[in-house]
Amino acid sequence: MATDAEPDVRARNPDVRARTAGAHVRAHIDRHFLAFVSWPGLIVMLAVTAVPFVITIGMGFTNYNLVQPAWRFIGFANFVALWHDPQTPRIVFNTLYIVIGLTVLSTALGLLLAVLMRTAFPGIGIIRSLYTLPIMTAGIVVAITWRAMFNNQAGWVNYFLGLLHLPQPLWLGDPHLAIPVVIIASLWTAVPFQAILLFAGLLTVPRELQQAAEVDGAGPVRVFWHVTLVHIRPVLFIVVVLRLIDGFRLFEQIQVLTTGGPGIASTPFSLQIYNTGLLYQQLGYAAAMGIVLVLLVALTVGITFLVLPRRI
Amino acid sequence: MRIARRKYAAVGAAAGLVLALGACSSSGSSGSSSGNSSKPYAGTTITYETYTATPEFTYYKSLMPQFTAETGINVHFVELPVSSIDQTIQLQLKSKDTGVDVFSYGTEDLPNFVAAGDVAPLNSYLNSSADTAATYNFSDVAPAIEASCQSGGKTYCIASHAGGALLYYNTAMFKAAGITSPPQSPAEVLADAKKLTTPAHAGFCVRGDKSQALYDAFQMWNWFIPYNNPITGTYFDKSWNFLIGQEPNASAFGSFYRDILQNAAPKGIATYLVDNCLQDFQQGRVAMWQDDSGSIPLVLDPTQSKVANSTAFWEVPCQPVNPTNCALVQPFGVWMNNASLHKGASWQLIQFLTSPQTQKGAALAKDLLTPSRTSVLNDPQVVAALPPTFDQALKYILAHPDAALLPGIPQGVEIIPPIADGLSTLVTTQQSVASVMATMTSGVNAIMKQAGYPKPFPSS
Amino acid sequence: MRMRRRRHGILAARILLLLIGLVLIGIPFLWILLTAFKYPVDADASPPVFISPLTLSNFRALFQDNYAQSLLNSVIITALATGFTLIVGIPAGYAFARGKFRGRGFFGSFLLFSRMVPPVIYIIPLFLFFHFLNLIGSFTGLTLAYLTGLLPFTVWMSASYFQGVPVELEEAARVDGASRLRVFFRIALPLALPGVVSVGLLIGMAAWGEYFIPLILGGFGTEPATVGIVDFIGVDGSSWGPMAAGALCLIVPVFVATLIAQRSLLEGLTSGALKG
Repeated sequence: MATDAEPDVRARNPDVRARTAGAHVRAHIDRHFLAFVSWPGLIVMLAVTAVPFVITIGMGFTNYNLVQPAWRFIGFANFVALWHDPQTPRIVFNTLYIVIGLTVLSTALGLLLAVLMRTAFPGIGIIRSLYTLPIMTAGIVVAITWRAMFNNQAGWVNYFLGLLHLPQPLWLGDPHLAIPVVIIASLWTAVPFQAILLFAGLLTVPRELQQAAEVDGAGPVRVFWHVTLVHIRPVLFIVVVLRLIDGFRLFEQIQVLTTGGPGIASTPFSLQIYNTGLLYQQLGYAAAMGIVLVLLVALTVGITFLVLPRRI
Repeated sequence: MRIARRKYAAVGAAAGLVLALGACSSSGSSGSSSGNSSKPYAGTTITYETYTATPEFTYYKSLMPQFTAETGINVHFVELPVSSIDQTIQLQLKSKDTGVDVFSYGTEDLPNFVAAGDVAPLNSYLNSSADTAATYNFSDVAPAIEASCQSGGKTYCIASHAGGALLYYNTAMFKAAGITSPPQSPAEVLADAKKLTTPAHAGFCVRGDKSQALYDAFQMWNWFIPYNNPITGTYFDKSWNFLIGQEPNASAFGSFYRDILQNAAPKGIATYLVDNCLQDFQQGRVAMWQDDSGSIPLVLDPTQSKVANSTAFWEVPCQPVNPTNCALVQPFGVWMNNASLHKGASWQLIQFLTSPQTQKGAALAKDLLTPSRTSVLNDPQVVAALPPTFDQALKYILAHPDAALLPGIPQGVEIIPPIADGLSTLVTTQQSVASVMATMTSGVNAIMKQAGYPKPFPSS
Repeated sequence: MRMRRRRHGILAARILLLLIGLVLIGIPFLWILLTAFKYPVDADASPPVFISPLTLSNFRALFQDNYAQSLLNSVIITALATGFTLIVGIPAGYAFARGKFRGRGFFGSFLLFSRMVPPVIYIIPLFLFFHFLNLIGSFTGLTLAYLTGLLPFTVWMSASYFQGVPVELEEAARVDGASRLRVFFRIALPLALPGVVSVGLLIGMAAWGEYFIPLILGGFGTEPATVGIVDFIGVDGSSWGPMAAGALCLIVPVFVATLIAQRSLLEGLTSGALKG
């Protein structure tokens, strides 16, 4: 994502080299500045996560079960069991359905919202703040609220659909609607979230570029597509990748919203891991699932890196 | 450069903060006992963990000042939400955390706690007159309930409430449908439920979600499956045959379960948690609800429930296949952490919480509906304080208890997934009942085989 | 003439779309608002009853449950987590945007990798590890745990914003003799400010709304308000009234703070665009 290391410009300037004592230290910090500012973060991350990660990976190769103290290494047996588990294909499907559906919809709608947020008129500030309300709402609250909204008998969604004489589907109960329910409830937060990030990105597009294109006779749509959108490619790319990764992490919202049901109709990997590990206490098997999930995420991100443009 | 130094100062301060907070974060037990003989543990502080949002435990909390005045022991009374405590208790016990001394928890994990040495046996305290007052009267705790706290001849917890599964029903709806008395058999339950299914309300509710496996069908298959012994209940016989999967009982139960939930239950029953059935019942959207007695206060509260004045309680009588132990009880016990550093003081708290006086007070305050002590249950004042039809139902439950919510073996938790999956499949698909029950059985048998069964049957 | 009418037409369309979106966004909030101020028997009614007696009993139940302490904990944890994450993450993002340095490949991959691992997977070993270090239930432990979740996002997002700052400006300053530190603070940071501020706001809100980590790693007395809310989910039934009241208490302060910050934010955002 970046250019090559900068040549040491300062070294060519004799006046700079002739500074007072202390220059050695300052020069040293300066030359390795990038490393200095990035290493603290790395050290903290490693300190906290290294041990748990290693233990988790190790657990995937054991039959560790929280309730019984005795355990032993069983090689790849967990992974073989996962391969043969009849639930696995559905879990994979659910996971990808949620992740891709949420990413595509939230980014597209978020971009639309970001463009709309650029409208300049009195009160736009208040409107922008109001749009951030869903982001300020804790995930658990979002899930509880939407579960109430989608309630088959008493929920507001079906009530308003009834008022409009539209069909009132069985939101929480129909296996085909389970994942759409999850996606709709998640969009409520995800769209403003993407919009804010893309809005900040849109602000960095230099006016001159846009004006130059307009002078050349391009209409607003063309300006947007060929100038604006191209310029925010790095931001757009990151926004998509992070949203993809976050989609795999969705967990307590789904747990509260549909409990992964009916059956496993809306159970993605994260929830299945929770159920297997903490509910049924088969930690070894759950850890193995976790390893497979991480590989799946890596695969998805890798494909995205290959397919999406990310440089201006 | 000034800025760089500020950054390093910030890092240093952060590190110092880490160390300081780390030092300050130790929770729980401290202090030592003074030499006072009437209050041998005075000055000790112990930690008691229990659930939030439960009237019984809120009542106990109100008694803590009295406890401290009597014994000199300070109690760090911690309430955790159910989604947290179920995990953190296990983790704390496994990591031999000294930060929790006493805790309240269901008795279904007894085999695992004992096998891992997580909980301390209480026999030495019960038998010692120095530690236990004469008025405590341990044998007063209903033996059938207390049995779920006992293993290998030792007592590991004291049951504080029995809990029981029963039928909540709406008397107004029954009257409107012309049903004069509550159902006497599962066939009648099914027939009534269908009669009570109208456009305005559904007939029958039970927790249908897969994650609620411990609380739905478990209450109803006792009408179809024989009860074999106190340890493995209706799950296994002494040769480890899976009773729930044995025909013809398996299909009889499976067909009933599918029929009632697909035809007489609220739509979307396959995702129903306790809150959904509770709300539907409170709002008059369902006529009958089979669940634990713990929700009774919520149903009788007019600020939460529209049907507070038209609710009655009933225990469906035992059927010939299981004539003596068909009423599921779900006892809660007060336990002692085996890693506790203040076992003596902890016993004093356990004794206090489960004493006859405390139980009677909680029952009279309507915070404890299913006390574990026989004397409290038979006390006329308590009987008068209970909702009328409930008292009857409770007596029947305690006369025909099945305390084996899970089989009393370490694999009890492990066999839940195939059972829960099978139950869910019954409701959400049209796959033949016999094949679903057969799949359930083979799933359970595979787990048992992997754990080394058949093994000698445990003695107690 | 025609151009002006067309521009007005487009403006009207945009405002209309924004308002429709606002209504859709707002309806769930209406539910929270109503549920917080009604008796449960009315809040759960079907069909929904919009006019019914109001009550403050939900709030009373909430604060009897020590919710004030939980809110304070939320403030402390959010401030600590956001502060440390920004201090550590923004410069790291700059480093990623600007060039090669030792450990860049490893750090970048590890950040991405750790983001890919849902907390569900490693929460138990993390609990045991923190327990060993006596960090369970401490603000330190929670801050560290939050940081590991927020840092990857901060680094990657701010890196992309720093990329939008032209390198030529920085190189010009360097030729004039400025140290890289000064370049970072005087040139890069101000120009990327809109993005950096957005990132800060978003991770602040993420920290404010975090639920699962403090549920398992939090302790007695340090749990944030998000965990305090689920105190009302019981074994035998839940009380939605106090939960909605709690949710309201969680949202209102943040919203007011954003409105206030909006003013200075707005200047920062638009001036940054103009300068570009």
